[in-house]
Amino acid sequence: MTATRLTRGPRLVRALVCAVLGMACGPQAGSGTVSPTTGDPVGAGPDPQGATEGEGMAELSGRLDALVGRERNLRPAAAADAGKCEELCELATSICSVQEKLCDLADDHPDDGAYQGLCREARNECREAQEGCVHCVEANSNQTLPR
Amino acid sequence: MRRRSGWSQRVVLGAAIATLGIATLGGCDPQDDDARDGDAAVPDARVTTHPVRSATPTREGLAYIEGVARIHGEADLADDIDTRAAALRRGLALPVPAELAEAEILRLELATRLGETLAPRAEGVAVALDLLEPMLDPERSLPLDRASARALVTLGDLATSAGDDALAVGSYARAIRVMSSLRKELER
Repeated sequence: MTATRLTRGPRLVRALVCAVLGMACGPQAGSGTVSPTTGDPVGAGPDPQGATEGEGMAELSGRLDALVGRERNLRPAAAADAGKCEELCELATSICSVQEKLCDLADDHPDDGAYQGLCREARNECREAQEGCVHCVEANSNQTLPR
Repeated sequence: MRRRSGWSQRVVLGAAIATLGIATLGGCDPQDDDARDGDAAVPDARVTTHPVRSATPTREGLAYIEGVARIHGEADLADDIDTRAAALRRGLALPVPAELAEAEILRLELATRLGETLAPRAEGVAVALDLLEPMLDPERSLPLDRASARALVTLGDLATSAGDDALAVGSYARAIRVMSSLRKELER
């Protein structure tokens, strides 16, 4: 009896495991491929089918919703920053173009400390303005792109 | 007496000459000479700015702004320098309503455009310099706006054409300082 019980026990367990796996991995759930539909909006496709997929889709859908919401919240700030970056970069271009004119004139007065000092100051301003432009664009693209 | 009188006269004359000489030398400030001599002049890069205040819109203010816009439109359509310059001069002659802070910028823009219009003509450079230099005097505070920077760059270009390197470099440096202030305002 004991031996029988012992042999019947594992069989029963095996049968149960197969039944559970059969439900989870049946044709309705795993073997069929869910085709993307063009007409439905994102996240409004066919309802998840099967226990495992249902959890996955719900999780993915939730994550997608969260990302879409996050992107929507970031959009105005990113647009404002983009406008600010444009202004900063335009100013940098103007500063550097005036710096060139200034330093061209300063080259005609190589021994004049005042001319040379103003040229140095202009070069520093040009460099700082260019760095400001680059930082702004980099920060803006990092903020806009989802990670 | 005669002798003493002669010495006295000489002493008085000598003292007068010495006083005159010292006074003349004292009056010869090297900076004055530099200011007259374009090459030796020191560039004046001082710049003071004030924030642009936005005024409460009034009927007169709006009429002035519309008038300036019309003038720019006329200048856009002008075929030749004289017509364009005449239009811009009419714009500068428009009476400015009291308390219209924006008028300062609008007048700077008109003067800058007039300066740029006159610049291609040899005699126009001097006229444009006479117009822009007092408006952009380093002693005056300028509105913290791109219009000030643009006007200073135009003054620098005109000074370069006139061979006044000190004025040109000073104006360019001031333009850069204004733009740098604008940049820092944006980065805050």
